Amino acid sequence: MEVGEDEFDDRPMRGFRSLTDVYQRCNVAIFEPMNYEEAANDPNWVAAMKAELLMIEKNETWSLVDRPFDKKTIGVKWVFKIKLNADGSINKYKVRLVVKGYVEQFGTDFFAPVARLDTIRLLVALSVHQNWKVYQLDVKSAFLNGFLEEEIYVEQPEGFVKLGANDKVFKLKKALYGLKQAPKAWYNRIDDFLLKKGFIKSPSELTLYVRVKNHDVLIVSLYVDDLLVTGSKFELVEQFKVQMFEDFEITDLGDMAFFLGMKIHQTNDGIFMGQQKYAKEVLKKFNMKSCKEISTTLMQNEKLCKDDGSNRVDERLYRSLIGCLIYLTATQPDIQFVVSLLSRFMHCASELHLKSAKRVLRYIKGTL
Amino acid sequence: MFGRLKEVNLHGFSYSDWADSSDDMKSTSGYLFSLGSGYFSWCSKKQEVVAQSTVEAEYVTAAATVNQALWIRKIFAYLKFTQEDGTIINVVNQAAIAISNNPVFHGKTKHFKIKYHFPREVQNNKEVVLVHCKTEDQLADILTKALSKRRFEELREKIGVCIKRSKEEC
Repeated sequence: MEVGEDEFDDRPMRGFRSLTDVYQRCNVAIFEPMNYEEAANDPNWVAAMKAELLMIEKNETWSLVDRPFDKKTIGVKWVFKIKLNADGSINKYKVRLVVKGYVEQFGTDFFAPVARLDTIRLLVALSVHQNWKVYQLDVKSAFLNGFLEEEIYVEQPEGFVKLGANDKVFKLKKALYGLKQAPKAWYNRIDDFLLKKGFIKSPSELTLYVRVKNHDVLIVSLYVDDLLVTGSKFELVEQFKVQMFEDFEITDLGDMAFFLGMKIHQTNDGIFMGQQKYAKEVLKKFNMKSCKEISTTLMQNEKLCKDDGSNRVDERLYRSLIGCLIYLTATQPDIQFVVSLLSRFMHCASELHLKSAKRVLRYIKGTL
Repeated sequence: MFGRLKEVNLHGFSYSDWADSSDDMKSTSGYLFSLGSGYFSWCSKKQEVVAQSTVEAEYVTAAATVNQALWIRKIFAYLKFTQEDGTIINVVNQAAIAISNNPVFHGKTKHFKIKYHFPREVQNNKEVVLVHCKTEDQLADILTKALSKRRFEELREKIGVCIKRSKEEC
Protein backbone atom coordinates (compact mmCIF):
# COMPACT_ATOMS: atom_id res chain seq x y z
CA MET A 1 0.00 0.00 0.00
CA GLU A 2 1.27 3.42 -0.93
CA VAL A 3 1.58 5.87 1.88
CA GLY A 4 2.01 9.60 1.40
CA GLU A 5 5.06 11.36 2.71
CA ASP A 6 3.17 13.40 5.25
CA GLU A 7 1.52 10.42 6.82
CA PHE A 8 4.68 9.07 8.35
CA ASP A 9 4.23 11.14 11.37
CA ASP A 10 1.40 13.30 12.51
CA ARG A 11 1.53 17.03 12.59
CA PRO A 12 3.04 18.24 15.83
CA MET A 13 0.45 18.49 18.53
CA ARG A 14 0.34 21.89 20.12
CA GLY A 15 -1.26 22.53 23.44
CA PHE A 16 -2.52 20.55 26.32
CA ARG A 17 -5.52 18.41 26.92
CA SER A 18 -7.09 18.25 30.30
CA LEU A 19 -7.77 14.87 31.84
CA THR A 20 -11.52 15.27 31.46
CA ASP A 21 -11.02 15.86 27.77
CA VAL A 22 -9.00 12.70 27.53
CA TYR A 23 -11.69 10.76 29.30
CA GLN A 24 -14.34 12.28 27.09
CA ARG A 25 -12.47 11.10 24.07
CA CYS A 26 -12.50 7.60 25.45
CA ASN A 27 -16.27 7.68 25.46
CA VAL A 28 -16.48 8.25 21.77
CA ALA A 29 -18.23 5.37 20.09
CA ILE A 30 -15.41 4.65 17.66
CA PHE A 31 -13.65 1.51 18.57
CA GLU A 32 -9.97 1.59 19.47
CA PRO A 33 -8.50 -1.91 19.47
CA MET A 34 -6.63 -3.06 22.54
CA ASN A 35 -4.35 -5.50 20.76
CA TYR A 36 -3.32 -6.82 17.39
CA GLU A 37 -6.06 -9.46 17.11
CA GLU A 38 -8.75 -6.85 17.41
CA ALA A 39 -7.14 -4.55 14.89
CA ALA A 40 -6.30 -7.19 12.30
CA ASN A 41 -9.88 -7.29 11.05
CA ASP A 42 -10.08 -3.63 10.17
CA PRO A 43 -8.32 -2.65 6.91
CA ASN A 44 -7.83 0.89 8.22
CA TRP A 45 -5.76 -0.34 11.10
CA VAL A 46 -3.81 -2.78 8.98
CA ALA A 47 -2.91 0.02 6.60
CA ALA A 48 -1.83 2.21 9.51
CA MET A 49 0.37 -0.56 10.89
CA LYS A 50 1.98 -1.03 7.51
CA ALA A 51 2.63 2.70 7.32
CA GLU A 52 4.28 2.67 10.73
CA LEU A 53 6.53 -0.24 9.71
CA LEU A 54 7.39 1.49 6.47
CA MET A 55 8.50 4.54 8.37
CA ILE A 56 10.63 2.46 10.71
CA GLU A 57 12.29 0.83 7.68
CA LYS A 58 12.78 4.18 6.00
CA ASN A 59 14.37 5.51 9.16
CA GLU A 60 16.80 2.58 9.12
CA THR A 61 15.90 1.86 12.68
CA TRP A 62 16.65 -1.83 12.69
CA SER A 63 18.06 -4.77 10.79
CA LEU A 64 16.94 -8.38 10.81
CA VAL A 65 19.51 -10.68 12.44
CA ASP A 66 19.69 -14.15 13.91
CA ARG A 67 18.50 -14.46 17.45
CA PRO A 68 21.48 -13.87 19.72
CA PHE A 69 22.26 -16.55 22.27
CA ASP A 70 23.72 -14.39 24.98
CA LYS A 71 21.36 -11.41 24.78
CA LYS A 72 17.78 -11.05 25.87
CA THR A 73 15.28 -9.76 23.37
CA ILE A 74 12.58 -7.28 24.24
CA GLY A 75 9.02 -7.62 23.03
CA VAL A 76 7.25 -4.99 21.01
CA LYS A 77 3.64 -3.98 21.12
CA TRP A 78 1.19 -2.19 18.87
CA VAL A 79 -0.60 0.83 20.26
CA PHE A 80 -3.72 2.08 18.52
CA LYS A 81 -5.23 5.51 18.76
CA ILE A 82 -7.85 7.36 16.79
CA LYS A 83 -7.23 11.03 16.24
CA LEU A 84 -10.36 13.08 15.91
CA ASN A 85 -10.95 16.39 14.25
CA ALA A 86 -12.40 19.23 16.27
CA ASP A 87 -15.87 18.32 14.96
CA GLY A 88 -15.57 14.72 16.08
CA SER A 89 -14.95 13.13 12.69
CA ILE A 90 -12.05 10.74 12.29
CA ASN A 91 -8.83 12.48 11.38
CA LYS A 92 -6.46 9.60 11.41
CA TYR A 93 -5.90 6.03 12.45
CA LYS A 94 -2.72 6.27 14.36
CA VAL A 95 -0.53 3.30 15.18
CA ARG A 96 2.71 3.24 17.06
CA LEU A 97 5.00 0.33 17.53
CA VAL A 98 6.41 0.59 21.01
CA VAL A 99 9.00 -1.38 22.89
CA LYS A 100 7.92 -2.96 26.12
CA GLY A 101 10.33 -0.70 27.90
CA TYR A 102 8.90 -1.64 31.26
CA VAL A 103 10.67 -4.97 31.15
CA GLU A 104 14.01 -3.23 30.78
CA GLN A 105 16.20 -2.85 33.76
CA PHE A 106 16.11 0.55 35.35
CA GLY A 107 19.22 2.62 34.97
CA THR A 108 20.37 6.13 35.60
CA ASP A 109 21.67 7.43 32.31
CA PHE A 110 18.39 7.29 30.48
CA PHE A 111 17.27 10.85 30.86
CA ALA A 112 17.56 13.81 28.56
CA PRO A 113 18.10 17.22 30.10
CA VAL A 114 15.41 19.80 29.46
CA ALA A 115 15.74 23.54 29.65
CA ARG A 116 14.80 25.30 32.86
CA LEU A 117 11.88 27.65 32.53
CA ASP A 118 14.16 30.36 33.90
CA THR A 119 16.40 29.87 30.90
CA ILE A 120 13.56 30.07 28.45
CA ARG A 121 12.25 33.25 30.02
CA LEU A 122 15.79 34.61 30.14
CA LEU A 123 16.15 33.93 26.45
CA VAL A 124 12.85 35.65 25.73
CA ALA A 125 13.78 38.65 27.87
CA LEU A 126 17.16 38.91 26.21
CA SER A 127 15.79 38.71 22.69
CA VAL A 128 13.29 41.43 23.53
CA HIS A 129 16.11 43.68 24.62
CA GLN A 130 18.09 42.94 21.51
CA ASN A 131 15.08 43.29 19.25
CA TRP A 132 15.51 39.72 18.03
CA LYS A 133 12.74 37.39 17.11
CA VAL A 134 12.52 33.91 18.56
CA TYR A 135 11.83 31.07 16.15
CA GLN A 136 10.68 27.59 16.89
CA LEU A 137 11.49 24.30 15.20
CA ASP A 138 10.02 20.91 15.94
CA VAL A 139 11.78 17.66 15.12
CA LYS A 140 9.45 14.96 13.82
CA SER A 141 9.59 11.71 15.78
CA ALA A 142 12.66 13.00 17.53
CA PHE A 143 13.16 9.91 19.66
CA LEU A 144 13.44 7.71 16.61
CA ASN A 145 16.48 9.71 15.53
CA GLY A 146 18.68 8.77 18.42
CA PHE A 147 21.46 6.27 17.84
CA LEU A 148 21.76 3.57 20.46
CA GLU A 149 24.97 2.86 22.27
CA GLU A 150 23.87 -0.49 23.63
CA GLU A 151 23.03 -3.61 21.66
CA ILE A 152 19.31 -4.09 21.87
CA TYR A 153 17.31 -6.80 20.16
CA VAL A 154 13.55 -6.75 19.75
CA GLU A 155 11.11 -9.39 18.62
CA GLN A 156 9.37 -9.06 15.30
CA PRO A 157 6.05 -7.27 15.62
CA GLU A 158 2.93 -9.36 15.88
CA GLY A 159 1.24 -9.97 12.55
CA PHE A 160 4.23 -8.87 10.53
CA VAL A 161 6.70 -11.65 11.06
CA LYS A 162 8.84 -12.05 7.95
CA LEU A 163 8.14 -15.24 6.04
CA GLY A 164 10.82 -17.84 6.48
CA ALA A 165 12.50 -15.82 9.19
CA ASN A 166 10.35 -16.81 12.09
CA ASP A 167 13.15 -17.02 14.56
CA LYS A 168 15.03 -13.92 13.52
CA VAL A 169 14.93 -10.76 15.60
CA PHE A 170 15.59 -7.13 14.90
CA LYS A 171 18.73 -5.47 16.11
CA LEU A 172 18.05 -1.83 16.87
CA LYS A 173 20.33 0.84 15.47
CA LYS A 174 18.08 3.68 16.48
CA ALA A 175 15.65 4.10 19.32
CA LEU A 176 12.02 3.09 19.28
CA TYR A 177 9.23 4.58 21.36
CA GLY A 178 8.98 3.13 24.81
CA LEU A 179 12.68 2.38 25.02
CA LYS A 180 14.11 3.82 28.17
CA GLN A 181 17.23 4.99 26.37
CA ALA A 182 15.24 6.88 23.75
CA PRO A 183 15.31 10.39 25.28
CA LYS A 184 18.98 10.14 26.12
CA ALA A 185 19.85 8.74 22.69
CA TRP A 186 18.03 11.63 21.06
CA TYR A 187 19.81 14.18 23.23
CA ASN A 188 23.19 12.67 22.34
CA ARG A 189 22.35 12.79 18.67
CA ILE A 190 21.27 16.47 18.62
CA ASP A 191 24.13 17.36 20.97
CA ASP A 192 26.65 15.84 18.53
CA PHE A 193 24.99 17.59 15.64
CA LEU A 194 25.07 21.04 17.25
CA LEU A 195 28.66 20.70 18.44
CA LYS A 196 29.71 19.62 14.94
CA LYS A 197 28.07 22.69 13.47
CA GLY A 198 30.25 24.91 15.61
CA PHE A 199 27.98 25.52 18.56
CA ILE A 200 29.34 25.67 22.08
CA LYS A 201 27.35 24.20 24.93
CA SER A 202 26.85 26.19 28.08
CA PRO A 203 28.44 24.46 31.07
CA SER A 204 25.79 25.81 33.41
CA GLU A 205 22.81 24.92 31.24
CA LEU A 206 23.12 21.76 29.19
CA THR A 207 20.37 22.70 26.76
CA LEU A 208 21.70 26.07 25.69
CA TYR A 209 23.96 26.29 22.66
CA VAL A 210 25.56 29.35 21.15
CA ARG A 211 27.53 30.06 17.99
CA VAL A 212 29.45 33.30 17.61
CA LYS A 213 30.83 34.47 14.28
CA ASN A 214 32.12 38.01 13.74
CA HIS A 215 30.08 39.42 16.60
CA ASP A 216 26.93 37.76 15.34
CA VAL A 217 25.31 35.44 17.81
CA LEU A 218 23.05 32.49 17.18
CA ILE A 219 21.41 30.87 20.18
CA VAL A 220 19.63 27.53 20.28
CA SER A 221 17.72 26.21 23.26
CA LEU A 222 16.59 22.58 23.36
CA TYR A 223 13.42 21.35 24.93
CA VAL A 224 13.40 17.64 24.03
CA ASP A 225 12.18 17.81 20.43
CA ASP A 226 11.45 21.51 20.36
CA LEU A 227 14.17 23.95 19.46
CA LEU A 228 14.05 27.66 20.14
CA VAL A 229 16.32 29.62 17.85
CA THR A 230 17.20 33.27 18.09
CA GLY A 231 20.09 35.44 17.07
CA SER A 232 21.34 38.79 15.93
CA LYS A 233 20.87 38.09 12.24
CA PHE A 234 17.88 36.66 10.47
CA GLU A 235 20.11 35.08 7.81
CA LEU A 236 21.91 33.07 10.45
CA VAL A 237 18.64 31.63 11.68
CA GLU A 238 17.66 30.72 8.13
CA GLN A 239 21.06 29.14 7.55
CA PHE A 240 20.69 27.06 10.67
CA LYS A 241 17.27 25.86 9.56
CA VAL A 242 18.78 24.64 6.28
CA GLN A 243 21.44 22.74 8.22
CA MET A 244 18.78 21.16 10.37
CA PHE A 245 16.74 20.14 7.33
CA GLU A 246 19.74 18.26 5.98
CA ASP A 247 19.98 15.96 8.99
CA PHE A 248 16.51 15.77 10.46
CA GLU A 249 12.91 15.81 9.45
CA ILE A 250 11.78 19.04 11.02
CA THR A 251 8.73 21.22 11.05
CA ASP A 252 9.40 24.93 10.83
CA LEU A 253 6.93 26.54 13.18
CA GLY A 254 8.05 30.05 12.31
CA ASP A 255 7.88 32.67 15.05
CA MET A 256 7.69 31.17 18.49
CA ALA A 257 4.00 31.47 19.28
CA PHE A 258 3.02 28.51 21.38
CA PHE A 259 5.53 26.71 23.54
CA LEU A 260 4.83 24.23 26.35
CA GLY A 261 1.28 25.48 26.56
CA MET A 262 2.41 29.06 26.85
CA LYS A 263 1.18 31.56 24.35
CA ILE A 264 3.92 33.86 23.16
CA HIS A 265 2.92 37.03 21.45
CA GLN A 266 5.81 38.83 19.73
CA THR A 267 5.25 42.44 18.75
CA ASN A 268 7.44 45.42 18.03
CA ASP A 269 7.03 46.73 21.55
CA GLY A 270 7.81 43.55 23.39
CA ILE A 271 6.86 39.96 24.00
CA PHE A 272 3.89 38.78 25.96
CA MET A 273 3.91 35.33 27.57
CA GLY A 274 0.69 33.91 28.90
CA GLN A 275 -1.15 30.72 29.69
CA GLN A 276 -4.77 31.79 29.27
CA LYS A 277 -5.74 28.68 27.38
CA TYR A 278 -4.20 26.39 29.95
CA ALA A 279 -5.72 28.41 32.80
CA LYS A 280 -9.15 28.07 31.24
CA GLU A 281 -8.71 24.34 30.94
CA VAL A 282 -7.69 24.12 34.58
CA LEU A 283 -10.78 26.06 35.61
CA LYS A 284 -12.89 23.70 33.54
CA LYS A 285 -11.21 20.64 34.97
CA PHE A 286 -11.98 21.67 38.54
CA ASN A 287 -15.48 22.86 37.70
CA MET A 288 -14.60 26.44 38.51
CA LYS A 289 -15.58 27.88 35.16
CA SER A 290 -18.32 30.05 36.55
CA CYS A 291 -16.87 30.79 39.97
CA LYS A 292 -16.88 34.25 41.49
CA GLU A 293 -13.74 36.23 40.77
CA ILE A 294 -11.58 37.53 43.53
CA SER A 295 -8.83 40.14 43.49
CA THR A 296 -6.11 38.61 45.69
CA THR A 297 -4.69 35.13 46.01
CA LEU A 298 -4.78 34.81 49.79
CA MET A 299 -6.37 36.63 52.69
CA GLN A 300 -3.89 38.97 54.24
CA ASN A 301 -4.02 37.58 57.75
CA GLU A 302 -4.75 34.00 56.92
CA LYS A 303 -2.30 31.50 58.33
CA LEU A 304 -2.25 27.98 57.00
CA CYS A 305 -0.86 25.16 59.06
CA LYS A 306 -0.64 21.40 58.98
CA ASP A 307 -3.30 20.44 61.46
CA ASP A 308 -5.98 23.03 61.27
CA GLY A 309 -8.72 20.85 62.69
CA SER A 310 -10.79 20.73 59.54
CA ASN A 311 -11.53 17.50 57.72
CA ARG A 312 -9.09 15.92 55.32
CA VAL A 313 -9.92 16.05 51.64
CA ASP A 314 -9.14 13.79 48.71
CA GLU A 315 -5.40 14.17 48.40
CA ARG A 316 -5.37 13.18 44.77
CA LEU A 317 -7.68 16.05 43.93
CA TYR A 318 -5.57 18.49 45.93
CA ARG A 319 -2.33 17.26 44.45
CA SER A 320 -3.58 17.48 40.92
CA LEU A 321 -4.90 20.99 41.56
CA ILE A 322 -1.55 22.10 42.99
CA GLY A 323 0.23 20.51 40.05
CA CYS A 324 -1.84 22.61 37.66
CA LEU A 325 -1.18 25.72 39.71
CA ILE A 326 2.56 25.07 39.77
CA TYR A 327 2.53 24.92 36.01
CA LEU A 328 0.73 28.27 35.93
CA THR A 329 3.54 29.88 37.91
CA ALA A 330 5.62 29.51 34.75
CA THR A 331 4.25 32.85 33.63
CA GLN A 332 2.66 34.17 36.80
CA PRO A 333 4.99 35.26 39.59
CA ASP A 334 1.98 36.81 41.33
CA ILE A 335 0.71 33.38 42.36
CA GLN A 336 4.16 31.94 43.10
CA PHE A 337 4.05 32.61 46.82
CA VAL A 338 0.64 31.17 47.46
CA VAL A 339 1.31 28.12 45.30
CA SER A 340 4.53 27.30 47.06
CA LEU A 341 2.76 27.82 50.38
CA LEU A 342 -0.09 25.51 49.43
CA SER A 343 2.22 22.85 48.08
CA ARG A 344 3.62 22.40 51.58
CA PHE A 345 0.37 20.71 52.54
CA MET A 346 0.26 18.08 49.82
CA HIS A 347 0.51 15.27 52.32
CA CYS A 348 -2.05 16.62 54.77
CA ALA A 349 -4.54 18.47 52.62
CA SER A 350 -7.54 19.67 54.59
CA GLU A 351 -10.74 21.44 53.63
CA LEU A 352 -9.16 24.77 54.49
CA HIS A 353 -6.19 24.11 52.22
CA LEU A 354 -8.45 23.09 49.38
CA LYS A 355 -10.53 26.20 49.94
CA SER A 356 -7.41 28.35 49.67
CA ALA A 357 -6.32 26.52 46.54
CA LYS A 358 -9.73 27.13 45.02
CA ARG A 359 -9.41 30.76 45.97
CA VAL A 360 -6.32 30.89 43.75
CA LEU A 361 -8.43 29.53 40.91
CA ARG A 362 -10.98 32.28 41.56
CA TYR A 363 -8.15 34.78 41.44
CA ILE A 364 -6.91 33.33 38.17
CA LYS A 365 -10.40 33.56 36.74
CA GLY A 366 -10.31 37.27 37.52
CA THR A 367 -7.08 37.74 35.61
CA LEU A 368 -8.16 35.95 32.45
CA MET B 1 5.27 41.19 29.82
CA PHE B 2 8.71 42.06 28.50
CA GLY B 3 9.28 45.50 26.97
CA ARG B 4 12.19 46.83 24.97
CA LEU B 5 15.03 48.67 26.65
CA LYS B 6 18.49 49.82 25.65
CA GLU B 7 20.93 48.31 28.08
CA VAL B 8 21.01 44.78 29.44
CA ASN B 9 21.54 45.10 33.15
CA LEU B 10 20.63 42.38 35.55
CA HIS B 11 18.90 43.55 38.69
CA GLY B 12 17.57 41.53 41.59
CA PHE B 13 15.41 41.75 44.68
CA SER B 14 15.77 39.58 47.73
CA TYR B 15 13.34 39.49 50.63
CA SER B 16 12.13 37.17 53.35
CA ASP B 17 9.34 36.79 55.84
CA TRP B 18 10.59 35.68 59.22
CA ALA B 19 9.16 32.61 60.94
CA ASP B 20 5.91 32.70 58.99
CA SER B 21 5.38 28.96 58.85
CA SER B 22 3.36 28.22 61.96
CA ASP B 23 4.21 24.52 61.85
CA ASP B 24 7.97 24.71 62.19
CA MET B 25 8.71 28.44 62.47
CA LYS B 26 10.81 28.46 59.36
CA SER B 27 10.97 31.54 57.19
CA THR B 28 10.11 32.12 53.55
CA SER B 29 12.60 33.38 50.96
CA GLY B 30 11.68 35.20 47.79
CA TYR B 31 13.69 36.65 44.97
CA LEU B 32 13.11 38.26 41.59
CA PHE B 33 15.37 39.11 38.65
CA SER B 34 14.90 41.37 35.67
CA LEU B 35 16.87 42.96 32.87
CA GLY B 36 15.04 46.22 33.32
CA SER B 37 11.59 45.37 32.12
CA GLY B 38 9.64 42.27 32.94
CA TYR B 39 10.85 39.82 35.56
CA PHE B 40 12.04 36.54 34.14
CA SER B 41 13.35 34.59 37.11
CA TRP B 42 11.66 34.24 40.46
CA CYS B 43 11.34 31.96 43.43
CA SER B 44 9.41 31.65 46.65
CA LYS B 45 10.57 28.95 49.02
CA LYS B 46 10.51 27.93 52.63
CA GLN B 47 13.99 28.06 54.09
CA GLU B 48 15.79 24.90 55.08
CA VAL B 49 16.87 26.15 58.46
CA VAL B 50 15.09 27.86 61.30
CA ALA B 51 16.29 31.44 61.31
CA GLN B 52 16.69 32.82 64.80
CA SER B 53 16.37 36.44 63.73
CA THR B 54 15.06 38.49 60.83
CA VAL B 55 18.69 39.20 59.96
CA GLU B 56 19.42 35.54 59.63
CA ALA B 57 16.32 34.98 57.51
CA GLU B 58 17.37 37.82 55.23
CA TYR B 59 20.90 36.53 55.10
CA VAL B 60 19.82 33.04 54.11
CA THR B 61 17.64 34.52 51.38
CA ALA B 62 20.49 36.73 50.18
CA ALA B 63 22.66 33.64 49.82
CA ALA B 64 20.03 31.94 47.65
CA THR B 65 19.58 35.10 45.60
CA VAL B 66 23.29 35.49 45.08
CA ASN B 67 23.52 31.90 43.87
CA GLN B 68 20.83 32.52 41.31
CA ALA B 69 22.43 35.82 40.30
CA LEU B 70 25.73 34.06 39.65
CA TRP B 71 24.03 31.43 37.55
CA ILE B 72 22.26 34.06 35.45
CA ARG B 73 25.49 36.02 35.06
CA LYS B 74 27.21 32.87 33.84
CA ILE B 75 24.53 32.28 31.23
CA PHE B 76 24.77 35.87 30.06
CA ALA B 77 28.54 35.72 29.87
CA TYR B 78 28.22 32.57 27.83
CA LEU B 79 25.76 34.26 25.49
CA LYS B 80 28.32 37.06 25.04
CA PHE B 81 26.37 39.55 27.09
CA THR B 82 28.83 39.69 29.92
CA GLN B 83 27.60 41.80 32.78
CA GLU B 84 30.38 44.32 33.31
CA ASP B 85 29.01 45.83 36.50
CA GLY B 86 28.21 43.92 39.62
CA THR B 87 24.60 42.82 39.80
CA ILE B 88 22.68 44.97 42.23
CA ILE B 89 20.45 43.09 44.60
CA ASN B 90 18.06 45.09 46.72
CA VAL B 91 17.75 43.99 50.31
CA VAL B 92 15.67 45.71 52.99
CA ASN B 93 17.49 44.54 56.08
CA GLN B 94 20.52 46.75 56.67
CA ALA B 95 21.99 44.46 59.27
CA ALA B 96 22.11 41.65 56.72
CA ILE B 97 23.99 43.92 54.31
CA ALA B 98 26.36 44.97 57.05
CA ILE B 99 27.16 41.36 57.93
CA SER B 100 27.84 40.50 54.33
CA ASN B 101 30.12 43.51 53.87
CA ASN B 102 32.04 43.23 57.05
CA PRO B 103 33.45 39.91 58.14
CA VAL B 104 33.21 40.64 61.84
CA PHE B 105 32.49 37.63 63.96
CA HIS B 106 29.51 38.80 65.87
CA GLY B 107 27.69 37.11 68.71
CA LYS B 108 24.44 37.28 66.78
CA THR B 109 25.89 35.62 63.70
CA LYS B 110 28.10 32.93 65.13
CA HIS B 111 25.50 30.21 64.64
CA PHE B 112 24.95 30.92 60.92
CA LYS B 113 25.75 27.97 58.76
CA ILE B 114 28.95 28.35 56.81
CA LYS B 115 27.30 28.13 53.41
CA TYR B 116 25.22 31.19 54.14
CA HIS B 117 28.38 33.29 54.34
CA PHE B 118 28.77 32.79 50.64
CA PRO B 119 27.52 36.32 49.75
CA ARG B 120 30.57 37.79 51.49
CA GLU B 121 33.00 36.13 49.15
CA VAL B 122 31.00 37.03 46.07
CA GLN B 123 30.65 40.61 47.20
CA ASN B 124 34.42 40.83 47.55
CA ASN B 125 34.73 39.84 43.90
CA LYS B 126 32.33 42.69 43.09
CA GLU B 127 30.17 40.34 41.06
CA VAL B 128 27.16 41.07 43.17
CA VAL B 129 26.42 44.11 45.29
CA LEU B 130 23.81 44.08 48.02
CA VAL B 131 22.12 47.46 48.22
CA HIS B 132 19.58 48.64 50.74
CA CYS B 133 16.09 49.58 49.64
CA LYS B 134 12.93 50.62 51.45
CA THR B 135 10.28 48.04 52.19
CA GLU B 136 7.88 49.93 49.90
CA ASP B 137 10.24 49.44 46.97
CA GLN B 138 10.90 45.80 47.74
CA LEU B 139 9.20 43.98 44.88
CA ALA B 140 10.03 40.52 46.22
CA ASP B 141 7.50 41.26 48.97
CA ILE B 142 4.88 39.62 46.74
CA LEU B 143 6.79 36.34 46.94
CA THR B 144 6.96 36.11 50.70
CA LYS B 145 3.56 36.83 52.19
CA ALA B 146 -0.12 37.47 51.65
CA LEU B 147 -0.64 41.15 50.93
CA SER B 148 -3.48 43.62 51.01
CA LYS B 149 -5.36 44.10 47.77
CA ARG B 150 -3.86 47.53 47.15
CA ARG B 151 -0.27 46.47 47.75
CA PHE B 152 -0.71 43.20 45.84
CA GLU B 153 -2.05 44.95 42.75
CA GLU B 154 0.66 47.60 42.94
CA LEU B 155 3.46 45.04 43.07
CA ARG B 156 1.85 42.85 40.45
CA GLU B 157 1.87 45.75 38.03
CA LYS B 158 5.48 46.57 38.87
CA ILE B 159 6.73 43.08 38.17
CA GLY B 160 5.04 43.19 34.80
CA VAL B 161 2.21 40.73 35.19
CA CYS B 162 -0.61 41.76 32.92
CA ILE B 163 -4.21 41.05 33.60
CA LYS B 164 -6.91 40.97 31.00
CA ARG B 165 -7.94 44.60 31.12
CA SER B 166 -4.47 45.87 30.34
CA LYS B 167 -3.41 43.02 28.10
CA GLU B 168 -3.41 45.10 24.95
CA GLU B 169 -0.67 47.33 26.30
CA CYS B 170 1.81 44.58 26.89
